Amino acid sequence: MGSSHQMNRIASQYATVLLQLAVEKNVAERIHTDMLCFSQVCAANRCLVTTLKSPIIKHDKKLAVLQAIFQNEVHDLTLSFLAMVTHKHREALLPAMAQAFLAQYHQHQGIKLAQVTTTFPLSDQLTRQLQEIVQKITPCQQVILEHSIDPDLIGGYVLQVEDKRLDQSLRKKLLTLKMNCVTEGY
Amino acid sequence: MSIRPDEVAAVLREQLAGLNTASELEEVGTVLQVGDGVARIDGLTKVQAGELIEFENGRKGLALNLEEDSIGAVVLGSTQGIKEGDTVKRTRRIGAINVGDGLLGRVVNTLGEPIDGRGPIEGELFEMPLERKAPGVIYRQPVNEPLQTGIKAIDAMIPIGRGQRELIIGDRQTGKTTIALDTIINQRSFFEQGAPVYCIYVAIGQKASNVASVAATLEKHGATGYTVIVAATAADPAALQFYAPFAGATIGEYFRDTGRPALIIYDDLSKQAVAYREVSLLLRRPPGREAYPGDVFYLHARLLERAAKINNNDAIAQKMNDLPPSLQGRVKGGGSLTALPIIETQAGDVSAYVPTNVISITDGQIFLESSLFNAGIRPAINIGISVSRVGGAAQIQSMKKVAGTLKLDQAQFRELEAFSKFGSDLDVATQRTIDRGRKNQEMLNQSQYSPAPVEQQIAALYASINGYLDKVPEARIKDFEKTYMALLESLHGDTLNKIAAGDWGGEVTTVLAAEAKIIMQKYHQEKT
Repeated sequence: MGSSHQMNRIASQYATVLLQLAVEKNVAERIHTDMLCFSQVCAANRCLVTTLKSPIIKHDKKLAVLQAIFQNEVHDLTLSFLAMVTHKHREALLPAMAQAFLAQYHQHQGIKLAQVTTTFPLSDQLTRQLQEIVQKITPCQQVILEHSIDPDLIGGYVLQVEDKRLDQSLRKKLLTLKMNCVTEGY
Repeated sequence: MSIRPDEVAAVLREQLAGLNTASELEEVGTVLQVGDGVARIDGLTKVQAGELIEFENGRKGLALNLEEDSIGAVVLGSTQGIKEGDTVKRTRRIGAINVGDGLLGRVVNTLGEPIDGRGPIEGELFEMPLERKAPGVIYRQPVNEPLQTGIKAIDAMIPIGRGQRELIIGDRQTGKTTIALDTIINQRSFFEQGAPVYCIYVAIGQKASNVASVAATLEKHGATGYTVIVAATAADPAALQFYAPFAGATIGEYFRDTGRPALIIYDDLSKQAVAYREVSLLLRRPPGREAYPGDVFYLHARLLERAAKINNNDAIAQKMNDLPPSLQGRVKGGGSLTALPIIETQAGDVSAYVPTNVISITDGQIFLESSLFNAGIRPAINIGISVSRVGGAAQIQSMKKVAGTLKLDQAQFRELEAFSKFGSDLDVATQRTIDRGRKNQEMLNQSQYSPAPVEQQIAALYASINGYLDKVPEARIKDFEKTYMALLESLHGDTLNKIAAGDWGGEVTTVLAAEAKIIMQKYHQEKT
């Protein structure tokens, strides 16, 4: 528990520095794309993550691998960042750093991530309406909706922003009704 | 009588109509880890310490540890059915139970739910918090009314007042619970007179069979009408065990704040401390002495601080701090909550962590010893080291006059008796002190479940202390007492009533002395 907490703290330190520098040089958006790309590559390639984590492989080898993959894809700042992290022997934390960067970037830009679950695919209009609801719950510049489908809800929707949840599903209503009928409550 | 179908439908309709289906914004988290009665939860960033949280399956928990990236919570009940990844939501309420007069005569668990199989708790119920700050200084008043235990040795030498906290401490099998039960049984006469002292017996970590036998004993002696039993047996989760005394205190506070006297027995706080230690270690709080967490003192201090004598003035009592909203408009002054915590020591070691803590928190202690118990002294109280720091003020006048020096005399006798074992050459004065001490001791002996009313105690002690037993052989003292009481009851009922009212004039003593002399003569003649 404690060690993973420690790891998160280290990762967020690096991410903060990267974001500060990116904002200063006016390339925050570009770096954001890079980090998104890096996250996606990591998610798709398990062996890359294992390589980065491996204590057997030498650090310069790891940097060479990273450079080979991202040389022509990303901004110079990202490349220097990868080099610095490798130099500090923290490359195992790179995926966590990318995640931390994305979160901090969202906060910096006033973007909120929201998860919505429904029983059917969302239309554009519904998406807009849901985004408005999210903005009512937590005021922000922009809302990114992550949509998933769950037929178990029976109807309605469940919207979650950070640790706030709006459960407007039929399943929840039926459950409440059942609880009220079965027990008098605690 | 059967239920008509339309009735069921009507009830359903009513419930449906009254159901609030408009969902509110919930604050949720995710279970990271669950087991051993505790859960670690991610999210719930705004949860308060001690707040009630609800798991997906309806099970409740209490958030105890608020950490940087997670929350440690205890599950109130079984952890079965809660799994990793389940959502947990805030309730924005702190832990509370429903209390009311309907609890009397019932056995409930820590959550206030009946476990005696006699159906739901009836009557009006009020939601009151488990953890509540004790009344402040201005809402209290000094202890001034006696709490009669019915045990001669205690009422005469270690008097307990209403609102006091008196510790009962001793090894296993020394009669700790017996003193507590006798005290409850003795309140029966007050209940019958219409001025009951409501009793709450909290069983913590005991065998379920023990709890059942306590309930049966109380029922047998007609004490159920004014008693509530809160039970968290050894099979219950540790969280329920360490919260049981708080549930008991909450019930006690209900009586206290509605202007009635109540008595609560925590049997026992050492097991509660052990349960708290278990939970604390599982929540990864740093262990201290004897592996107890740092706040085990605060655990007991805040619990026992809730025992109080409330100011007689209704207007002041109504302004009491931290009054739960449910009691609004029902608060009366003059109530009290007396606490008799029990601590079990290991091989007489009172310098262990928990015993020293509780000794320092309470207003005195009744110390029971197995050596005295084995010597046939019942209750096996060590008079020399037992004290009551505030109870003296609450003793009735007549008892104060009679038993004023008894404690000192008995302590002196114990010391002399120890010496006399070495040699037989004793001067007359010493011999008389020892002899008087033995007679007093015999008079103080009392078998279990036979509490005596205060006027009888005073009369018996008067005879013993003033030397009317000097000529009576030790083995016949109980006999003497019985005859004496029968005589007083049949011929001098009014005198006994006067004593009970605190009247201790020459008239009373003349009657007592005269009757004692008559019986004494009888034994004297027998002897010669």
